[in-house]
Amino acid sequence: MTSKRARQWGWDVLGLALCVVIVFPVYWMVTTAFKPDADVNTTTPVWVPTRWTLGHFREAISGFDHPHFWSSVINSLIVVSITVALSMVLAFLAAVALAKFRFTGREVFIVLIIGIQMLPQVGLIIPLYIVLRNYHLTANDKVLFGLTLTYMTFVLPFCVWTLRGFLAGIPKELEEAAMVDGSSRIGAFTRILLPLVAPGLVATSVFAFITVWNEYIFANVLLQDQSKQTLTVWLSFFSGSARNTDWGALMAASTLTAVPVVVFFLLIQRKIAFGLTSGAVKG
Amino acid sequence: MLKPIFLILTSLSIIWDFGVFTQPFLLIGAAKQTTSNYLMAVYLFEEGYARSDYGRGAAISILMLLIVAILSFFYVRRMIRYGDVR
Repeated sequence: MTSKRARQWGWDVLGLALCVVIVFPVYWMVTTAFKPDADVNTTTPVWVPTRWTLGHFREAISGFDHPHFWSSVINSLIVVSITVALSMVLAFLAAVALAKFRFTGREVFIVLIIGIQMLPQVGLIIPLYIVLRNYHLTANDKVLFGLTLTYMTFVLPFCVWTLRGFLAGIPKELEEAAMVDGSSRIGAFTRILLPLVAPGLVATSVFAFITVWNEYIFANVLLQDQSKQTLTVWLSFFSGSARNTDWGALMAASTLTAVPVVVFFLLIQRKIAFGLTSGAVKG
Repeated sequence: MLKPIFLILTSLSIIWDFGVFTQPFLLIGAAKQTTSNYLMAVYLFEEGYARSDYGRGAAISILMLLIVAILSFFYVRRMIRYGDVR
């Protein structure tokens, strides 16, 4: 009994340590954003801040050195919403085809989708840039659309991939039962399949949202004009050389960048409920 | 019950983390990248773009693709069959 309890304690401590390792960077980012400069630049770290200030946030949002905060937010929102909406529609249709129908070249298609994710993104910067330039999508007025297309190239395969997993988990018999009872194929699709795969759609869109929101490399390459930059590019201007980085403002800006993702996730995670279909088919 | 999920997560983790670029590049700093702390993606960037040797960069990309393809062979084989049994 005691050895069992000791083992339980061991696992608890391990879990707690893991939790601390994961949570601490976030804690440090948020507290540094609120600490006054005197507490940020010290040789003895201030673990628990006692003095609070909003000055860093003021500096980050409307400071003279870092303009374009609001335009960056708007650009990020435009790119993210278009990418997520388009790729969810396209990915869902593609995933239905892959999960529910048998056709020639289906296996090749699946291997291609997973193979695309194996290509290093860094290696695709120049080819994608040349393609976009040939279609004049790097021009300043169309570059956000070009960026959206770029993001679709790697968000879409992932979405197809995950949604296919969710769709394959829904028993075929449910659709068949609806059609036996006189529903058309489209009726079975919208009334049976769509509601059942809704948690999968939500989970996949959350992932797509986070990926696009945090993407930096392509945004940095494509967006030359500061008025067109996304939040991650805006954020990168905060880190200068090690001696003159304004750490407080950098952390305040990082916090501001992270907040929308966290809020979005909190709003939507209640809707991610699984196991709706478990037990729907007897035997 | 959890075994297939572990398999999927491990394989996807291998696929994604093999090509990790942003974090090492930003944390170590572009100027301090040396051959001793290269990762594949950083190596690709340095050879392909920093030294403008595009052919070599493309070759490194293909090699990375092959390595990940070998590492995730079992996962892909299993995933192709996944869903077919139903």
